[in-house]
Parts: sequence; C-alpha cells; structure tokens
Amino acid sequence: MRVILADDAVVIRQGLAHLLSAQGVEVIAEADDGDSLIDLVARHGPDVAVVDIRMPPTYTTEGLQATSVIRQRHPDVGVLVLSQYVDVDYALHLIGGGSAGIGYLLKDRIVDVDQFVVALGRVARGETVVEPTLVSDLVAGSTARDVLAVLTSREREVLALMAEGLTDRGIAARLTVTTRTAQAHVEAIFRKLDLPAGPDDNRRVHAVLRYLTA
Amino acid sequence: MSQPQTTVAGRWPTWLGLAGLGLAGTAGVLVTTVYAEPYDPYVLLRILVVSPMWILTGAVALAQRPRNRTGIWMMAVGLAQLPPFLHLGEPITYTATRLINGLAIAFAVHLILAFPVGRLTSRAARLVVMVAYLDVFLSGLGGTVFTDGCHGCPRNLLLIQDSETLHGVVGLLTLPLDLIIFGSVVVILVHRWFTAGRPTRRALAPVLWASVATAAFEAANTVSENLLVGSTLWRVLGWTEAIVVCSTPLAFLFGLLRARLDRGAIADMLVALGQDPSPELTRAALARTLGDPSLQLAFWVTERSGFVSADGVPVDDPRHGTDRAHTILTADDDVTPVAAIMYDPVLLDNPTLVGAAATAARLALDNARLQAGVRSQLAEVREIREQLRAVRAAERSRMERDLHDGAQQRLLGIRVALRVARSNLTGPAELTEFMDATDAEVAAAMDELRALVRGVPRMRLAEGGLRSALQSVCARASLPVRLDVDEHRLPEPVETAAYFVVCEALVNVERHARASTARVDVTRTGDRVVIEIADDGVGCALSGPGGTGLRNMAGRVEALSGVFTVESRPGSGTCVRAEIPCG
Repeated sequence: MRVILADDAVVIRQGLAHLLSAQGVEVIAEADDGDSLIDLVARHGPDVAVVDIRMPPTYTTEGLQATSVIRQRHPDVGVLVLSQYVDVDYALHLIGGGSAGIGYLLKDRIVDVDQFVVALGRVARGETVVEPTLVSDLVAGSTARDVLAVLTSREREVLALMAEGLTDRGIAARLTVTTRTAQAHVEAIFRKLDLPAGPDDNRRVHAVLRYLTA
Repeated sequence: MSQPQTTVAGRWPTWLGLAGLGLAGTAGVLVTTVYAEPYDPYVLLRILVVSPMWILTGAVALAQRPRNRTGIWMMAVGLAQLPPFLHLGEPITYTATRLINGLAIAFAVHLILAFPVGRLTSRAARLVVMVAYLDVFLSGLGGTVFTDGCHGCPRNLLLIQDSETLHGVVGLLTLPLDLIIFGSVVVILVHRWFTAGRPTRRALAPVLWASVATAAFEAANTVSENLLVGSTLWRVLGWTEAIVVCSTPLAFLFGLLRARLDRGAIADMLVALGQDPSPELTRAALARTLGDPSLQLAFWVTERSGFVSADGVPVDDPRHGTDRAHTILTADDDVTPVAAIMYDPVLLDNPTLVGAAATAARLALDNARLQAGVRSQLAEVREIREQLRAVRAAERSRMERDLHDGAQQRLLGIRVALRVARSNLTGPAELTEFMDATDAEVAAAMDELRALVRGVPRMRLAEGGLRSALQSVCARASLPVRLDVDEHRLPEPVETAAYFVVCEALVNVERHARASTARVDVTRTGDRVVIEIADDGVGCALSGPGGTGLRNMAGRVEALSGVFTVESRPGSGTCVRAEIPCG
C-alpha cells in the first residue's frame, strides 16, 4: 500500500512514517501543508493520503479543503482525515462528499499502529471509516435512545458498526458471525427504522449517521 | 423652554379684505342703479353675498394662517367674480372683463388643488391648473369674439361675429378640456384623501363635502333646467344651491382652521399624562391630541450628543434633513436641545398648537427624557459588558486552544517517538516494559488533558457548536437524557450561556432530583431561543432566590436580556427554562 502523509508536526509525521514502514506500508512522500499535499498526490498517485485537518497557514480547516480538492481531481485516491476532536457535522460533510475511500479518525489512533494500518487498508479498498468514539457518543446520546428502542441489542451493535463504516463482511468478522447473518441484521434494522436499503457503501454510512443525529 | 417661534401676522389682510368688500359694494351699486342692462337676483346674490364671503373668509384665513397661501387664493376667487360688474359702462373695460370671464373658476381649481397647504405640490396638480387657466382663456376669448353680450350692455370691442355656430366650435374645444379638468381634480382629490394622514384628511373633509354638494347641485341644475323652470321646486332648488354656494367658502375656512379647534383636547391630554407619563404614553397622548398617529418623539442625551427614541435606541437627528416636519424643544438657554417632536408637515400650519401641546406635555416630556436617558445608559452598559465578555472569552479561548493543542500535539509526538524507539529496541525485557510504562504515562497525561478540555466548553462549542457540545454532555450524564437541539448555530454568547445553563441544570438533576429521565430542548422561534431542561424527579419546594447554581444560571441569562424561570412542584419534576433573544 502506498501512502502520502500530510501533517505539519515533524515528529509525528516522521515517527508515523517510520512506524508504518515497519508494518509494510510504503510512505512515498510527506507534506507539511495543503498545497504541497495536493501537488504530491497529483505527482505520485498514492492509494491513500493521510491528512491532518489543521495545517498552516491558519490552522483551521486546510486539511478539509485539500481533501475536497483531492477527491474531486483524484477520485480513486483514498483520504484518511485525522483530527484532534471529532465533530459529527464534519463527518457528515466528508462522507456525503462524494466517492468512497474516506476516513475520519481521532489523531490519537495513530499510536495504535496495527489498528491504524487496518483502517488505512479499508480506506484504500474504497470503504468508509468513522471514528468509533463518535459513533458511540451518538448512539448513547439523546434522541438515539428513543428511536433505537425498537432494535434489539444485537441490532444496535450492528447499527454502530455500520455507522463506523464497516461493510457487511467487516461486521460479520467483528461479531464473529457469518456474512449472511450480518446482512440479515442489517436488513432488519433498515426495515425497522424505515430507511431505504442499499449497498454497503458510504451512502449507507451517511444515512445511518444522519439518522443518529436527527 | 422657550416658545417655538410663530411669524407675526401683518395688517395687510385686513386692508385687502376691506378693499375687496368696498369693491363688492361698488359693484352692487353699479349693477342696481347705474347700468342700463338688466340683472337678475342671482347676480346680486353673487356680488353682495358670495363674493364678499370669499373675500372675508380669505382674509380671516390669511390672518390666522399667515404662512399659508390658501387665504390668498380664497380672496382671489372672491375678487375674480367682481370684474364683470365693474366695467363702468366703458367698452374697453367691458371687453376686458368679458375676456377674463371665468377666471374665478380657474382660481377655484387652483385653490382646491393647493388646499390645505396653500401650494401646488405635485406635477399633476400643476399641469391641471395650467390646463384650467388655458381653458378659461380659450372660453373667455371664444365668448368675447363670437358673442354679442346682452341687450343694453356697452359695446364689445373684440366682437368679430355674433355666431352661435362659431361659439359652438370653440365650445367643442373647451368642453373636453372642462371634462378633463373636472375628472383630474376628482382623481387628484381622491388620491390625496387615500394617501393623506389624519391631519390632512381632517382639513380636506369639509372642502370635499362642499365640493361634492356643489357638483351635485350643478348636475341637478343641468338636468332639470328644462323641466322645472318656473316651478316652486325650481325655486327651492335654486335657493338651496345658493346656500351651498355661499357656505363653500366657510367650508374652506373651517377645514383650514380645524386643527385649532382641538385646543381643548390638550386639557384632556394633560389629564391622561398626569396618570402615567412614560415615554410611550407621552408620545401616544401627543399623537392623539395633534391628530397625527405617525408622530414620533426623540430625546436628547448629552452623553451621546444625539437623540434617542423612547427605548434608548439612538435615532437620526431630525434637524438634518428629513421629509417630516419637526419641532425642537430647547432648554432655558434656548440652544441646548431637550426633545424633538416629528410629525406630519400639515401641522406646520399651526405651530402654536404644536407649541402649546409641547408646553403642556413639558413635565411628561422631561420625565420621558429622563427615562429614555436611563434606558440609553443601561443599553450602553449592557453593550460594554457584552463586549468585555466577548473579548475575555476570545482571549481565553485562544489561550486554551494554544495550550491544549500545543500540549496535545507534543504528547502525541512523544508517544509516536516512544513507539518508534520501542519497535527498534532490542534488549532486556525490563527496558521494553519500562518503555511501555512510559507510554502509558503519556497516554494518561493526554487523557487528563482531554478531560480538562472537555470541561471547558468554549473550544468544543466554537468548533462543533452547541449541539455537538451538548451531545457529549448528555451522553456523559448518569441518567438517560433526551436531547433535542435546533441545528442552526446561535450567536456565540448565547451558545455559551445555553451550554452553561444546561450543564448546571443537569448537575442539579443528577445531584438532587432523583429522576429516572431528563430532557433537554433547545428551540429557536423567531428572534428568541428557548432552552428547557426538565426531569421527572422529586421536584423541589422553591422558596427564595434558590441555590447559587440557580442564581448563576439566572444571572447569565439575564445578562443577555433573557428570561429565566424554574417550575417545580414536589413530586412532579422540575423544569428549568431560559428564553434568550438572539436577534
């Protein structure tokens, strides 16, 4: 897997590059701001670009802007966005913003390298990755509690995993059941919550997240 | 406070009026005793009653309203009816008066369209008046040139040929003009009525009634002329018409002076103001007394060097060009403004009335000014407090962000570095364990930092908004909380206050309410946002100001001009409610 890293903090960027290489991930280039990232992606065509939201010059949402540009110009390049805080509105914006191969994680996740590489792989394959703590916050909160009362506890688990972006296969693997079983649960959930069923791509993730935040 | 100035009426209206009356008298004598031509009673009526009525009422109008030209036009209408009878038997003067026959009607049109301000204010009106003068000239000319005049009259010098047909041709020209003028006058008056304010309407009303009556009589005349000549009904109609015609000038005068008659209303106003002289009531009372619902008051605030409205909101200085009339009331030094009254320009006609009303309302105005001043100060204080708070919040927010983000980034960097080091480490197991322990320490530090930050609302609020911040608050609560937050962002101070109130209220619920569920609703309706935190717990007996938590919440809400209420009954839960305006 070929990735490009974009983060203005040198220690983190180089450290992560080292850790990823040790896991067999090829870090082909590093960028320290949005413009050079876009440039490098155009030149090297990676599988995934790992982008920190906050970069120079204003340290607000340069990463998000660069992400939009990359997804427009290079729809086959996956983008994994890292942030100090996760915000559901950013998540919705990113996931609803086009083709798959998008991820949104807390920056802390990079320390757990194995899991991080798994997430990178999912994004490279074109799947969607959503920060699990964001999902658990949403599911545990408010309105979710009422509207999810119709689901069984197993179904609630499956719903959370769907919101995290897992495919049917991924859900099956996580819960150690067959894919068939997982799909049955998914269908039941969509029926009970009156959501339009569809393939397990990022549109599903978007729909579930929207549902949980409404 | 000095009296607003009024111009001094000269004596010339009196002289002119007397001269006019003299002319009328002369004309009467001439017609009855000197001239050879026969006359009929209506002519005498016209000379001795109608014309003097116009002259007299015009003189009175000029004396009472010296700045208003209406009086001049009224006198003109009266005087213009006399020349036909002042020819003194000379052919030259006779011919001249034949030419200007009908001028009185043109003056009447001018008068009606200029009423009540005394000037023609619209292009349409000016056009119609010009056409009227043209019409009168044409018909006068046509009549002189093609009609001989009466038996026994002096010679008509300009007579070309006494021809019914030729006169009729001229008539074909002037008749449509007549109709156009008549129609235009009606349209203009109707338009004026519907677009006028109350004072103008009250001035117009008597005139309109008189004009309608006159027109009706003219119509009746024309229609019934052939049928009723000689009968009693005809005579009755004739005399009724005469009365209407004679009272028309009185109607004009009445309309013009109507404002004056309301002087008695000032006494009523004083009584009303005595009871509650608040700025709003003072304005309403003045508006009612002067008959101008659009009247506005503004008060001078020395600190701002400007005017403010009754609520303390700054308003434009009326002295600097507006289309409203205004009167500035000054302090005893005649220079410093105290208050300003803005009103319909028609009232400019009667400055004494405005001045009298203002003087009578002086006490109330002073009071109202004080109130407005205090409100303005309060508004300013609130403004300043908000600015200070916003500045402090921004400062703190920036500081915390820098602190948190900087520290968080560094700690993360250390963990990454530790990982890198560990992955390359070959050595005794103790070293690996030691590194793992170090990593755990750093991870713990990051957690504590994050918890610290989560306890501080501003960053989460600023980035993700109230909804996102409240979601995590409610998720962390020790009881199920149903959250319903409007997704639109609110102004930053409002979001901060709302966040604070919800947090405090939830803490209270967790500590005291012994509830099984709670709900938090943040709804925006129009220009306010309503925040409600309700639980199904044991409730509490509310007495006195409540605990410090409640006081803090109330304070926060009230600082933003909001309303804070707590509803609680023992055994049936509690509802904390904050309503904050958010523009």
